[in-house]
Amino acid sequence: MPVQVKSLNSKGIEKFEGWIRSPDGAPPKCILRDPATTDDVEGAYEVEEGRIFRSSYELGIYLHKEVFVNAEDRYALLSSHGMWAWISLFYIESLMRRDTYPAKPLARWHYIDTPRLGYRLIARTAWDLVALHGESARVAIGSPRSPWGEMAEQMTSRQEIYANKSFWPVANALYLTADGSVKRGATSQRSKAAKRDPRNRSGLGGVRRLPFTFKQFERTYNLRRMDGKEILELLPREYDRWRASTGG
Amino acid sequence: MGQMTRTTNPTGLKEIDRKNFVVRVNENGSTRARVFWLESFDYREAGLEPHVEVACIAHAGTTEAYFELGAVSNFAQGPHSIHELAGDKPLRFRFIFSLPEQSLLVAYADGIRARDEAGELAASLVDIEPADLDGIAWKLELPDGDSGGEKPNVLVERALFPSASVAANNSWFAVLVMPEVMRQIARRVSENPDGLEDPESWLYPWGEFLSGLGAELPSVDVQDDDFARNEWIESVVRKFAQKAVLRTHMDAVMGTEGDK
Repeated sequence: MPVQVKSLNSKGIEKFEGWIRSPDGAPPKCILRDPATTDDVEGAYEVEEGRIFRSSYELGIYLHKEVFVNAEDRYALLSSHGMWAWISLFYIESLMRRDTYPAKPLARWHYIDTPRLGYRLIARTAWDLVALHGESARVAIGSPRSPWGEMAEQMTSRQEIYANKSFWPVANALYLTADGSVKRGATSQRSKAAKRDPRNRSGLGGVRRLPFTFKQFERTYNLRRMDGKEILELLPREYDRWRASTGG
Repeated sequence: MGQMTRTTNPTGLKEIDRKNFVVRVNENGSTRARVFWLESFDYREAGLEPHVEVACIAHAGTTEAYFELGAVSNFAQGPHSIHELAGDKPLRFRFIFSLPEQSLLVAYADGIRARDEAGELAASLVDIEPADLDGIAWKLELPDGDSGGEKPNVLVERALFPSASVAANNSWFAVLVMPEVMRQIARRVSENPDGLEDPESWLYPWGEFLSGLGAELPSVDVQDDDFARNEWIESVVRKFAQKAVLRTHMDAVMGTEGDK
């Protein structure tokens, strides 16, 4: 059943936050329709009740293609903090931890806008990434294991790559398997000891290194004039392990 | 001793001086109507051939927009809409230059600010972000880990400073807040001087900044000796306070008070 999208006001956010801190009972969905805890939002957006999304990518696709279809002002939507809290609570079943039973909520910043950690607000970032990068967003938020994994953290926390349209198809080609899961080791961190040892290959070519490589290449190339295949061919040898399985 | 590494420039790419650009921004009363245009660019002074093409990446926070502006001798003067860029984050422009239909760059210029956004304090190494701080005027958030790409962020009370540029242009903010911001960053540097040499650390660009100030880089002593550490931090803050832009703000504040 379609439901009009609303915005949680400060009282509503307080109640939602209280439940996140102590999730003893069911999510407080009654506040989604209570005039005392909600405000109207500009634009007649509707969401379908009861939908379950297997991944944050699926949620992003739905919001982009079926909910915010004619939204012209992307930044105004991004800034509608109360609305994203409302959407988070509305679809909370798809946004909880999947490794506990009964399922528990993640930290507050995954549902409520938090300064400096705004990128972790899953529903908003999922919508925004799909709107910006389309299918390439899958590598960051396509995992069915968790609504917010290490890949999402690595790919969305760096401002210089978040909106970089050249970066995402390349990361997608390097680290995503044919079945849509992330390749093992793609998020591994290069240890301090490895950094000091030139023979140690640990962590090389992973997603933590790719933004740095891009930063170097952006000094030399206009990557926005190049397609993903051209950029893949440019990458240094440390990416061979990942590139070998792209068919590129 | 850690090896000093720097982002390399094997193709001899040319960095164009910022003074050759005049960028304007007009918000028409709302960031939702915000446009920019490249008012002038002196390609001869920059040493570029007239047929070299220029493109621009406008970025603010996690939002960015890309524009191809054409040949430097006849570039599209705009205006170009940037209404989708974050209105509460510092707005910067990167200009890149290449030969027609080629991707290899011949020159670039980074960190260009619009003429209308005065002030040198909100340099690209620090973000300023209006936030609801419930009675606290400002606070500094430093990146948690070693992750590169992150920046120190000065959160400012939205009721006092509705936008980053309002804070950056405020002389009281400059003289009271920014030296303390520098002090806290210097303290973090003193706790992990290796970060200055690690291109993957957020501290890495601060090495160049400190050198630009004329401050010495922290010696090995500062990590283990509290006295040496505090001395070094104070020396950095003193150098920072001597920057021309800070002295100008100090003069402005003293002038305002003197008029009373």
